[in-house]
Order: sequence, then structure tokens, then C-alpha cells
Amino acid sequence: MAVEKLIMMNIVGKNHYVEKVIKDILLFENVQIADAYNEIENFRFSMDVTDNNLDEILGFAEVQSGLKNASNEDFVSKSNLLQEVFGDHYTVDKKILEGEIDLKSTIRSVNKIYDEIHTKYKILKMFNDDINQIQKSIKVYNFLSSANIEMDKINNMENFHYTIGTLSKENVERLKNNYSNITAIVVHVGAYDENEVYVVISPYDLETETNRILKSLNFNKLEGVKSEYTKKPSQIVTWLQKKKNHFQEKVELLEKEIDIIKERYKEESNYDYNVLHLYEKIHEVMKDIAFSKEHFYFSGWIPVRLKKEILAILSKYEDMIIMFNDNHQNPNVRIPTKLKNNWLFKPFETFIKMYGVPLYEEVDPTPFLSISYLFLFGFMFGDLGQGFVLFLLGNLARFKGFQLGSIISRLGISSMFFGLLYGSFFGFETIIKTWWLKPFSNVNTILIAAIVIGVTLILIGYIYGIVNQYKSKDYYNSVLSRNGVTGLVLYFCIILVVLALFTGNRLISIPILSSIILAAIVILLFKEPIIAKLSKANHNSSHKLDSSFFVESFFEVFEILMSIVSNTLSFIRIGAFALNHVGLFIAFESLAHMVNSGIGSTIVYILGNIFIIGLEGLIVGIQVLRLEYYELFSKYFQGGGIEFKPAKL
Amino acid sequence: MINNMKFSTVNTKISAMKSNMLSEKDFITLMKLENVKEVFNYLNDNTAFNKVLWNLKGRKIHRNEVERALYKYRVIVIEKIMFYLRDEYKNFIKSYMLRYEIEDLKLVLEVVLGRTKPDNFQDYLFSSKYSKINFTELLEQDSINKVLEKLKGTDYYRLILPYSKQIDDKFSFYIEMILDKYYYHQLVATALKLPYQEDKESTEILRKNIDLLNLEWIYRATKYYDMSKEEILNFVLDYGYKYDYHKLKDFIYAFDLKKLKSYLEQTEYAFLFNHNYDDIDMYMERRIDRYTFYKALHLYRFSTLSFGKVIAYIQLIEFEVKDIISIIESKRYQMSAGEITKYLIRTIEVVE
Repeated sequence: MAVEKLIMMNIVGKNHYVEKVIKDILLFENVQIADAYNEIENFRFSMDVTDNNLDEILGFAEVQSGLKNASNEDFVSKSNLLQEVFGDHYTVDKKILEGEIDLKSTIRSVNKIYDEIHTKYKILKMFNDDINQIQKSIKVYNFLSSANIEMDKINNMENFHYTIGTLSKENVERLKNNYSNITAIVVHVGAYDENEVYVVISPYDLETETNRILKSLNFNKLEGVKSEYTKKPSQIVTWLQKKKNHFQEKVELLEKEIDIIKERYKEESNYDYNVLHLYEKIHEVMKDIAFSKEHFYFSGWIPVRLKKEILAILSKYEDMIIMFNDNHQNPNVRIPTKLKNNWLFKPFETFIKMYGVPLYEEVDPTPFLSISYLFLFGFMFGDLGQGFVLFLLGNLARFKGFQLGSIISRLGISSMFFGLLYGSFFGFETIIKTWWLKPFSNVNTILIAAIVIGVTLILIGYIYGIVNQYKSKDYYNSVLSRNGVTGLVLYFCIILVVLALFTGNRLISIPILSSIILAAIVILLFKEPIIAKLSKANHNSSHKLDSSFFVESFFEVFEILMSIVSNTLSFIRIGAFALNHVGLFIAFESLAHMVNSGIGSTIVYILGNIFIIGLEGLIVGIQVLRLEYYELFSKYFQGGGIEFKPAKL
Repeated sequence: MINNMKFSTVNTKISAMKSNMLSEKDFITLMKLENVKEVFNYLNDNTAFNKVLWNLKGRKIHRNEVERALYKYRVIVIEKIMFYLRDEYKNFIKSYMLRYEIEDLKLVLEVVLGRTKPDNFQDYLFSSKYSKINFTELLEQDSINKVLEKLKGTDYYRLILPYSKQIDDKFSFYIEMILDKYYYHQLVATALKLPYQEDKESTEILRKNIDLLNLEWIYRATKYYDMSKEEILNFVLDYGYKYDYHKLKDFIYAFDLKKLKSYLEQTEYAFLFNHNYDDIDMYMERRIDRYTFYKALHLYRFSTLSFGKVIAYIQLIEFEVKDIISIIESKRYQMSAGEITKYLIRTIEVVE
């Protein structure tokens, strides 16, 4: 339930087993690769590489890799072809890859399958290409069919050249507007795909000019006219039609044969694919590994709790040094953040990440967010029946792979719980017993409860903020800033004053409180110069206490005071929505009474409930998220961290 | 009245964004700065551009990177406006955004052809997130035909296809011409679909710009290009404001350059041509920009609660970025502030 502790793992090992090590790490799925060159260069690699009498670091390219055999062009084109043929059947599967892998036999297997299938596949492709070509020719000669003349006569004209193609409507317009200046005869022969088809006949002498004009009109020459087709267009079309059908039959036959081969090699080929995929990944990881003549240097982040497991996995390699480095003092190192939460809170991480990934140093806000979210949602949307519907819908959505589903189902449970407290079942308040109170009959209690909840949450938010600032070594701010101890004290005292004014209940006398408040305000006003004085770090950026400083500070403090009020009052909405929830149902209830017929009223009740669950549920969900993000996160959550992304297949 | 209400939000938003634009004082300061680094710092510390510049801070600043960030800024700003518009108005902005998509597409085609090779092409793409084209995928293709295959279903496929059959040194020229023509056609076509007369009037600025581009094209093509009159005519843009296809046809067929110059000197567009020839050529583009810039300023000032403000603002932001980039470029040549003003679209007096 926190940001998980990560540790930097540095490995030095022998080059001959580097691929196996990477494979283990990939299957382990819990190491985020770091750039080893970078680590060594910045002296963060836990072993001193240069002094260890290990040889000089070489570039990646100079290291022999098993992949070399598999990365020559010829082989790549072979495996690409297989991927084209088998494509849909391939799935990446970790289980297949466990155990010893023999790249050589995989390469042999790829070659074997390729040999069996590629000729047939190529012929199939050729036939398909031919059929495509024929299709094009058929189309063109259909356009020419009105010219009832042998094509070789047109093809062999002495002084004229012809071409056929399409023009878009607006370009037809342009052509027409300038007919008088065009160097060719233009004949309209049909339409195709919203474009007009034209035959353009021009003298050989003017062919270039004509071509250039056509080009400027976006004239699209149709393919498929061939000089070897000499008969009349209609005859050519019938002949081509026949040829096409013949080819089609052959294609079907070939497809069947290929399917049989595919069936035979389905599993073997999938295995090969997985192996090659693995090696591709290994290759990728290698780019971040440093190599010397005999050794490789690997760096990666790993959760501390998995230290033993990775050691167990890697213990089988000889001459390997594994070191862990948890000294993360260097401010230039940004440690990735891995959130770890139990099943109840886990789904709420989505909401956190929507706002930003927490910094490694921060306290994981997920538990607080989850509990407060569940609580607030239930408070605003408490109903046993409707909550149950949400629970079901959420689970349904989750099974459909919709991530938000798991949050919705949890919200449903919270809603059911509050439904029991309010005694509300699908809006009806008479069916089940009320454990606590009915919101609508206790408006004041609900509104006051809302404020109390708000104050509590804000106070917790302050504490989170102080801890976070302390953890990120921002000591001065954790004490002096608006979200630090000063802010907390100020807030607390103001609350006490308000409490005293309204209830007469004085825990501490007003003068004392007022002086504390005043002191806090003065601290906030002069926070910057105080910090500058204390830290003495930046002498040159001394704060001038001129008028602009006072204006700025004054407004800042003013804004702080305003936001204390507004943040707190903001929580009234949770009471308001709790009431609104009942009010909305009452509206439907009166509608149902007006309808005043058994079936009609039932329909209104059902529609009303659907409306309330869909729309109000959504609104309440958003309102709570707003409270979390705006009122609470601003107190303590920074974000800006990097998410932990382990290397995987 | 209801029409006006529709624009109250977007106009308010634009007024807010307009206040983020640089003042004349900002420009003067920028011009007087020593080098790109200082310009960068000034923009980052004092202007709204820090939204796109902040993450370059603390690194070695390259002129290129700053320029790209500024280009990106335009797109972000315009996307923001889109939020506040609906239906035909949103469509208009979408059409406007085509210009970035088209620029990207041209770049991709050049890259695929192997004619240019920037280090990280990704950084050079500015298309809006609303673009449906997957440029990363296009960049992975190794031939124009494969790129086309991926473009199937878009208008670009139909437009580029005819030229893909013969890829020679004129290929890029045709692509450029045909895509630009397509862009301006789409832009004005959607503009003319706006529902109110008032909206249509505010598109005048776009159509006058088309007039000017057409005149520039005819002038340049006639003077410098080995091209038949038919070709020149076929490449003119649609929807000019004063000069339609037929008028332009007259210009091309019936006028020579001298006659064209003396004719246009009597018109609203005289500013392009009432200079001697060297001067005409050199500043033509800037004069067009300057004219459009002041038109946009005027339109901005005199539109209240109307779409005109949107159109004007978009133009103004384009010109602002253009001018800042001119200033950045001029730093390379160590020009004085007085000299830089000559290359800016806006007129600024500098006392040195």
C-alpha cells in the first residue's frame, strides 16, 4: 500500500550467456531497464568498471550476437513471408518460451516451412496480381466498347496518340472552360467512382504539351490498356472475362493446398514466431547494455522485495557479479514509481495516473483517495437497491474488459452500505429499516455532517502534504508554506474560531487563537525572505522588500484565506447531493402518483431509477473526483513521476 | 441575436487569448536582444509561449527547436478555439487545420522519396490531434506507392495517385500545387457553408488572400517558369474574391506582364505592383502577408460577437509566430533592430 521501494541492480557477466540472462529478465517481467552506458559514465554503476581491470567498454555493434545469424536480410524476408501467411494464428505466449531455446533449430524450422510454402504462395500472389490486372483491363475496354473498331487500328495510328483516364468534376469544368486552347481532342466515354472518364487524342507533335496540361488537371491515367490486345473492345472483354474465371479456379485450388500446409505447421510456426519475437526484444534490451570484450554490464530497476527471487533465477550463471545499489542520493537520477496496492484500492490507481504519476519520494495517495472516494460516493448516493445495480453493472463491465468497471462495482458496495444507513431501497424509504437517519427529514444534520467530513478530509490532506514535503527534503516549505505546518495551524485555528462563534464552545480562548492566526499570516507573508535567509544558499537572489513584493504577498495570503473558506464550503455539495438524491426520487414518485395506474406507475418508477442511476450516479462520480483533485490533491500531491515499466515480451 | 449568443463564449476566450499575444513593446525588446538564447529566455519568461518552451529550458538551445515549438503553439491555440465551436463552425476550423496536415504530408513524401532527412521527423510534424492520418506509419513506408496504399480512403489518395505513376523531379512540384489548391478549395468551400450572411462576409479576408496568391502565381509563373498558359491557368486557386477563373483567364491569355502591372496598379491590389520590377519580386510575399495582417487586425477590431473574430484571431496568431521566427532568423545574421523591421509583417518603428 505504498510506493514500492525500488533498487538499482547492476550485473556484470560473461558475454556468452548475455542472451539467456536477458531472456530470464524478460520472463521475470519485473525489471525496468536503465541505460548502462549512462550509469557507468556517471559513476553510478556500483562496481568501478574502469578500475576492476575489466577491459574497455565497446560499442554494441562490436559484440557478436546470436541474433546475427537471424538478422541477415534473406532470413528476415523469409520470416516476414511466413508472418504474412500465418499472421492471424500467431500469439505471443510466455509459456512456450520457458526452458531451453535453440535458435539454430528455430532457424532451420523457419527455413523448412518456408521451403514448403513459399513457391505455392508466390504463385498464388502472381495469380492474384494477374486477376487484378485483368480486372483493370476489363474496366478500361468496357469504356471503349462503344467504339466498334479493332484496337490495333487505334493503337497503330500514324500521327495520333491516345490515352484514357479520369477527371474530377471540378477539373472537368476547368477543361471545358478552356477547350479552345487545349491541344487535343477530348471525348467523354463514361463515369466511374464519381469521376468522369475521358479519351484524349492528341497529335504526336503535341504530346508533351498535352501531357503537361493533363497533369495540371490531376488527370488520372487508367491502367490496363495493352498493345497486345488487338481485337474489338467487346471481344477483348469477353476473352478477358473467361481468362479471369480460369485464374480464379486456380487460385481457389492453391488456397486449399496452402491451408493444408498451414494446418500442419501451425504450432511449430507459432513457436518459431515466439522465439524470433523474443530475440527481437533481446536485441532491443541489448541497446541499453554496455559491453566489453568479454563482459556485459547491465543496469535495471527492480522492486526490493524481489531481490531474492531474481538472485535465485540468476544464480545459475557462472562468474556473474550482481550488485544492488539503494543509495539514491543523486538528484539527477529519477527513480520510477511502482504503486503497490491491495485489491480494494488497486483500481483507483487509474484516477491517480489520470492526474499524474506520483514521485518516487511521495506517499502513495491511492489508499486515501480510495477510502475517501468510496465514502463520499456512498454518502451522496446511498441506496441499497441502486447500489446493488451499480455493483452488478460494474462487474459486468469489468468482465467485458472495461477498466472503470471494477471501480463502479466497489462504489456500488459503498452505496449499498449507506443505503442501509439511510434506509433507502430503490428510492423507497419505507421498505427497509433506517439504521442512522433519513436525509430528507434531517437536512441540517446532513449538511453539518458534510462540512465535518470536509474538514476532516482537508486536515488529513494537510498531513499528507507535510509528510510529502518533508520526504522530498523540502524542509522549509514543509513547515512554513501554505500546505505545510503553518497552513495546517492556520486552518485549524480558523476552524476553532468559527466553531466558537457558532456554538459558543471555546476550547481555546479567542485572543490566543487570533494571535496564532496572525502569527501564521505573518509567516506566510514573509515566507520567501525567511526561507532565503535560513537556507543562505542563493545569495544573489536576495528578495527585495519593495512595494511589488508586498502587493504580491498580500494577494497571495488573501488568496490562501479565501481558499480556506471556499475549499471547506465546497464540501457542502456532498450533503446537497445526498439530499438531491432523495429529492430526485420524490419527483419521480409524484409523477408516478399522477399517472395513477398500476402499470404506468411501475414504468415511471423503473424509468426514474434508471435515470437516477445513470445520470445522477455519473454526476456524483464526477463531483467526488472534482473534490479529490481540486480540494485535496492540491494540498499534497505533486505528480510528475515516471511510471515503472518493466521489460516484457 | 441568437446567432450572436453562440459566439459569446468563443469571443470571450479569444479576447483572453488575444491578451496573451505580444505587444509592440515585446517585439521591440525581442529585436534588440543579442542572440537566440536571449530571445528564447524572453519568450519563456514573459509570454504565453512558455507553454511550449518550458521543457527546452536548461538545455542548449537550437534555433530549430525553438521554431518548431512556436509552430506547435499555433496548432495548440487553434485546437483550443475548436472546443468552443460547433457544426459548420467547427468544420471550418477543421478545414483550416488541413494546412498543417498537408504540410506534414508533403514532408513525409519528401522523406519517403529520400530527398530530405531530418533527424527526428516526428518533431517536424505539426498536424493537429484531430488529424486522422497516422504519419508515423506513413514514415515507415519505403515507397510512394506504399504511402498511397495507406492513404486509401482519403482525398489525398485520389489527388496524389495520378502523379505516383511517374516520379521524376517535377513530382514534388505537382504535389505541392495540387495539395495547396485542394486546401484552399476546402477552406473556402466550408467557409461558404457557414449559415449566416455575416459569417460569409467575414471570409472576405480569406478570399482576398486567394486573389493575391493567384496574382503572385500568375506573375511568377509567367515571368520565370517554362510553362504553357493552359497549365498556369489550371493551377490557379478557386474562390478568389475579386478575380474569378474567367478574369484570371483574361489576365493570362490577354495580358503581358507590363499590361498586367499597369492594370492592377489601378486596383485595390496596387500595393503589389506599383514598384519597380526587382522590388516587386523581392517583397511580394511579405506584402501579401502584410496586407492580410492589417485586414485581420481590422476584422478583429470591428467584429463583435461574431465568427469574424475567430477568423481574424487565427490569422493574427499565424503572423505573430511568423514574425517571431523572422526575428530569430535575423539573430543569425546579427542584424540591427532597424534592419529586422524590414523583414517583419507588422510595421514597427524602432528608435536606435
